[in-house]
Amino acid sequence: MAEGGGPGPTVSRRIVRWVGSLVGIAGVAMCITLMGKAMGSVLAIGGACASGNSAYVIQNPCPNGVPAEMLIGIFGGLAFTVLFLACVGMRNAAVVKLLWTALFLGLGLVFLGTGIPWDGHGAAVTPIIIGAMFVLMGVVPLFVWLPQLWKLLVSGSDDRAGRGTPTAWGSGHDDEASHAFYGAMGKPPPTTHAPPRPPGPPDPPGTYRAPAAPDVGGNRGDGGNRGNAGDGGDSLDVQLAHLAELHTSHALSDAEFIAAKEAAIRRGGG
Amino acid sequence: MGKRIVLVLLHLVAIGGGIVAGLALASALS
Repeated sequence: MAEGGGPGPTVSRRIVRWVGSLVGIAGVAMCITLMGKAMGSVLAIGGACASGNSAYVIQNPCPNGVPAEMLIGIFGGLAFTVLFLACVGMRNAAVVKLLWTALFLGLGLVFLGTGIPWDGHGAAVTPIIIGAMFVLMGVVPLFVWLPQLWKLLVSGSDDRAGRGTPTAWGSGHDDEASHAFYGAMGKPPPTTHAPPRPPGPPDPPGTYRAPAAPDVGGNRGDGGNRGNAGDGGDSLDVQLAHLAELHTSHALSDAEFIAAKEAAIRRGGG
Repeated sequence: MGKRIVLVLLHLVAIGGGIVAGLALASALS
């Protein structure tokens, strides 16, 4: 992670995040499958069982493997979900909502499969009701989330998510970092999220009107005089501090930080 | 866009692998 090390560390970090997200989602699928299998085994013997040492007489012992399957399914599923979420980053966190659908749709189908009389035996009403409820709980929110998830797939950004976190799926820098980076470079970022331009005289060619940046250390004191990065609205030390903050939070790679810093210094000194 | 589609497909493959692993683990445990 040496300064000026080029894109190497960023690429390796991105690969680690990709692998982590793949392992996480595979683990979640495995754990949901385990829970479904355990639930199916319990439903097959009446829907309730007990196991272990107890002061009570166990009338309905659990089938072999059910306690381990449930424990691995629940706690392993939580752990793999955390791994997946950590690897996809906050900007893509909306995809975790799909796990809700996977869990309830999967378990709902298990309940329905138990209750519906596939092989001619009598229908079990309770599993069918529970299964239908679980399927609805899994599917109905999906229709609410689909627009957001589709936008995430198409544009790679979720406006409602947190910012400043580099992700495995995104381009490596978010809107704020992108504006700071390209603003320091004196050109607009390659994004469709262009900020509304305030009225005023047109900028000279080669300049970029950056959006308002957050105060760094509360030392701006410019009375909200923010705007064109090329008109001296931001002093050099504020720009450098902001870039350093983005670099520290890994929103900018080493190479991007160095390039933006040199561009800012060049413009600040010229 | 193309990279995201590849990633989504990779994740779908991973989900399939996870389901197969879950079925195998359930068989081994029971």
